[in-house]
Amino acid sequence: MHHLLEQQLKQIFNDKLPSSPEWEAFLKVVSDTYINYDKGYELLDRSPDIKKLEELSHSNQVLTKNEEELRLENERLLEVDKVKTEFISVIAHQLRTPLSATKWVLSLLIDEYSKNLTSEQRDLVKKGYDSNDRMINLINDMLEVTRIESGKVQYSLTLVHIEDLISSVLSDFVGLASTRQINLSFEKPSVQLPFINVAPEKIRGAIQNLIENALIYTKSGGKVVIRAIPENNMIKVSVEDNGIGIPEHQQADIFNKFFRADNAAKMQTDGSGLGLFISKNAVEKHGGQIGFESVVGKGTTFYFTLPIANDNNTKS
Amino acid sequence: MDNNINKEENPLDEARKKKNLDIKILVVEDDLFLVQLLTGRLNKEGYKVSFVDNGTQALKSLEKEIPDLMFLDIIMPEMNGFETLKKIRADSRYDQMAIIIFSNLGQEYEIEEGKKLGADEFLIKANFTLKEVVDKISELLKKKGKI
Repeated sequence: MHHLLEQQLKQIFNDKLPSSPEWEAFLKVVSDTYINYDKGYELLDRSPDIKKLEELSHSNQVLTKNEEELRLENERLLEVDKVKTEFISVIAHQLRTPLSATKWVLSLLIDEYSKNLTSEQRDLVKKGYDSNDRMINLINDMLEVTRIESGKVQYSLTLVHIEDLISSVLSDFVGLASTRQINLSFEKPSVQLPFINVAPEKIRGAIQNLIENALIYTKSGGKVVIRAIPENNMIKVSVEDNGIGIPEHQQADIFNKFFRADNAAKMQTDGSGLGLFISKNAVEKHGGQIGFESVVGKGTTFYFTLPIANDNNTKS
Repeated sequence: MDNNINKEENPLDEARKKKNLDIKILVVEDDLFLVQLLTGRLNKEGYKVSFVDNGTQALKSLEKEIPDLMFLDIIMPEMNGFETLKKIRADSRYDQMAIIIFSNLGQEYEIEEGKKLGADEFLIKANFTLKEVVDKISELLKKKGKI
């Protein structure tokens, strides 16, 4: 008997079901009707069209909900982007302004009042100037990283001679090389070096970063050699040192933002780990490649390539 | 201190200063300590320097006297540097005046904006010593045929 019919009969007859052949036959017919109804509903439930319609309707609801969520998320991201831009502007302006004042005062003392200072005072002022400049450079690097990550990078390209660029960076490092007693040299090839079409400040930054790293992570008495060699339609610039090297297990991470190798961090506590990240981005954005070879305790050679400018013949 | 410095200067410096005496520079900057340092240094070079602390005052000052070169900050009260620059470059009376934006802003789009509005140079304050600024000025004045 259909379970529902059984339940209903029990309620009506209070468990004392009448019993007779007619009655039994009647109940059988009613029960079959109940069972057939059930089958009918089951069939209806299983009907593929209905199921599809229900699924579609459900998907539609989900999609509408997702669309609304995406719209809200997009609004939120635009707001975050705006706040970030304002934040960066505040960093740039509010942090750099007092640092500018300090830089100007200290450089004024160094450039113009140097003769009135004792050598001890001069040394102190110079050290103050250098640490202030480290802070400025760190802020500049952070701003550069933000710019890189925003993806909104537009370079305005200028034709520059690679040799001029390298020489001008080198002249900035003569002082550091001599205080660290490192032999810094530029080995020019016998062939004429080419012009490159680049954002000069970005490539200058990359050269600066590689030379500075080489000077910092090489012990006194060591050497740093810069080379520039044209290869096909590229110019390859390399910076070789006989410094501390990069541990093999950390070589894969060396271009990561904020990463510093253990032996480097041990030797020099200052350092943001941003330099190589920025340099890699600058080189690659110009269609070049950056890489290195390094053996711990023996030294490191960093190199990068850049496309030679098309209009080289007319300019050189 | 100044006397000592003067004694050590060579005749070439003196000659350069005499030439600079004819050059007028207007500094538009709201940070008074930076103004003090910058104008002090420019005065030493022999330039005739005056200053105002916002864009509105700068435009007023230009009505009275047109300098050869203007240092223009961006973030200032009343009228900021970009608005000021736009107004100045729309006025042909000031065509001969060189303009250096001198700010601690300096994201690429800000530099682009400055150049587009007609600034001759965009210098980020924290990246230059006053000595380097002085060099930039003579470079620009030479390029503009003013010295």
